[in-house]
Amino acid sequence: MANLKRFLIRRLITFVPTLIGVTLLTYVIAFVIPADPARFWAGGLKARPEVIQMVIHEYHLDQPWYIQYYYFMKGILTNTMIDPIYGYKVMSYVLSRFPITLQLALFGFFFTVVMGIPLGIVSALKKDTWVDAVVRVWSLIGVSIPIFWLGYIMIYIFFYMLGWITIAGIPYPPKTITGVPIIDALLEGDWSVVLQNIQRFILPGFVLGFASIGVVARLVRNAFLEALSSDYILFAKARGLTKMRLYGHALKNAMVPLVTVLGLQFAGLLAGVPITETVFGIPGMGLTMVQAIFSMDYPVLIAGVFLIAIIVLVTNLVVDILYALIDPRVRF
Amino acid sequence: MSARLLDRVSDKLIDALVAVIGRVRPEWVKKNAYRVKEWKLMLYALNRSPIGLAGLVLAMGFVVIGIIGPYIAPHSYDFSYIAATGEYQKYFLAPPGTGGAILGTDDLGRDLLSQLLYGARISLMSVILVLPVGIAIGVILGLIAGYFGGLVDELIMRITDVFLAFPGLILALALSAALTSRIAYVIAHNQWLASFLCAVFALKPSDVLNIAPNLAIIIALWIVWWPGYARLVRGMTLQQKSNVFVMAAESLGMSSFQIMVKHILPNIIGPLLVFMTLDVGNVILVQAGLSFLMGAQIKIPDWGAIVQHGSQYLVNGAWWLVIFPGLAIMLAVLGWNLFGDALRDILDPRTRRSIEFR
Repeated sequence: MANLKRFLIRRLITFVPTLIGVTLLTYVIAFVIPADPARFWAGGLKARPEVIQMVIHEYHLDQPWYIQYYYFMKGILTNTMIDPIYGYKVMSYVLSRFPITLQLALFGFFFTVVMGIPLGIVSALKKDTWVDAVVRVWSLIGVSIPIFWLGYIMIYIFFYMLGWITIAGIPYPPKTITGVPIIDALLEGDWSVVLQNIQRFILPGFVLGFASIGVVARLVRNAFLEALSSDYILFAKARGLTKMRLYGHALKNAMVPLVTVLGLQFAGLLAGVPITETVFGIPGMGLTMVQAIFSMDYPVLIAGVFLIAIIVLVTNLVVDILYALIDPRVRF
Repeated sequence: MSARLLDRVSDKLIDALVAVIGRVRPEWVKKNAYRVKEWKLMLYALNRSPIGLAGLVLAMGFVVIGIIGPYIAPHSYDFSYIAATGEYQKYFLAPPGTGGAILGTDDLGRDLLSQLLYGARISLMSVILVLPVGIAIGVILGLIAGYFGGLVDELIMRITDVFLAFPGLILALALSAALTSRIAYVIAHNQWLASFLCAVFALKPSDVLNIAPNLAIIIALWIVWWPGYARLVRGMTLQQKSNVFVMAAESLGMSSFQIMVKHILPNIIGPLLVFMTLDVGNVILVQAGLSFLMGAQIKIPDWGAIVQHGSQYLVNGAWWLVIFPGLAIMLAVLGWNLFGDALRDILDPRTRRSIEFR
């Protein structure tokens, strides 16, 4: 475990430079390439010069870029920066969008786990049958399908034709505890809100998780088959263990690579969030950032990218640690 | 039985290729007879994998339609039935099969089939323009990082980490949004570039400025695409570096550059090729996703943009504007993925034998 500690410290040391790099990169895109954000923020072509001056002064736009960057990050991290276009506090705004994205990702992850793992196991047990073929084709179609297309097909079928789901608004329970609507509703026992949330999020979640379901199913299948063909299973068979217990043994070992892949899939789900949220009109981080890009709302963009990068890095870190805890052979 | 027939065809193909090479460099054929045999064996394996063949057909279909699509299209991409016939009622969102429009028309009365055929060219050109650049940057940085190690490695990989931690789609979207006006400016002031773009994207000269968002997407994808390759190539280089032949080359006094290019690169090219094949589909997909989010110019027949534009008319029941372009994207991507999947099995010596003797 001492090694793990050293590994963690090393990872944490590289954590901060990576975050700085990510924000710096956004900053460069946001400020070096297009011309004159101050004029735009002050109201566009007809902005009064004194207002432009005010904006320049407020956001330190007349200073060298590294000082601008410093004030930017300071303003975002201490939540004192006011958005130049809409006038809300940047970090609070982005943070208020975060639970919605988290809920969406959780729905997607739910589908990934609940459908991917059983499908993989069934596909391994029924190797080389039609079930196996279906899972294989699904996994390939899953990574080939344009996520926005799947989204629109789903909306067309389940909203326009069947009317089973809703695609507007986010139903919140009366009180806020964690901020994630469905968890709050569950905690308060407000079942109608839970149901409304499921109605709203089940399709986006499925669309978001569609690719991951196939990937995870394929992986579970291969890992399970590999485990089934190893020597200890042969030995267990020779000892006369029941089939169920054999599978139990194999499954336990097949789960080791799964942890990594599930972690990576969770980070991967976040990559699909902007498109899914745009298609379904979910006001989460993805849609917020897409809109921020088009309205030149760079503070929101930088804050959003910053948060997402933190999530991705933490996920990777957790995956590495879990991996070390599960598999005793892994040493750092 | 049919596999035998395919074997004969593939043999002929390889023989023809070898004959062409033999014309130019006769000594190569003699030296590489074993390699030619290997190629033939690989194709035998491919002939026995129906999924791989299906993928090959789809993938080649995408390439062929991308090349000849604009020439076989029934109409030009900006042809409008409404403008041509004046029958607004009939051709506004006409369903598939209405008077000549096989796949229907959009809200401007344009022929969807022609749009899709022209769109194939844009998609194909995006792949051709994105992949080589992204891969070149990634391979160079990965080779350098893996071969030299130490501080250089640390520096390159930390930068790579930054790009990998970044939400890729957002980075590409921000870049393309920021670059669009710049690119339009460059095109407007560069006659040669404008006519070149018209030729490769099969556009009319009057529409050349509208391609700027698509070009911006391509440039943004250069920036997003290399980190994956850098990481991959670095890993493979580290593996190859520990081989004895690298040490031998070093002790003979070969320069680092020569060792990287002549001894390490040829050994990692196989897995890299598989990765590239699988990546073609990714480029098509991400490009479509970006043009969907960007809502590229309405005049440009880009697959992703057609879906985005058509999605507004889903309420009117115009499903064909969403279904057909999406289907085109999916089939193209699926083809490359199936082909890449089969290729991986074939190039992996452990799995190839089992396919050959099936």
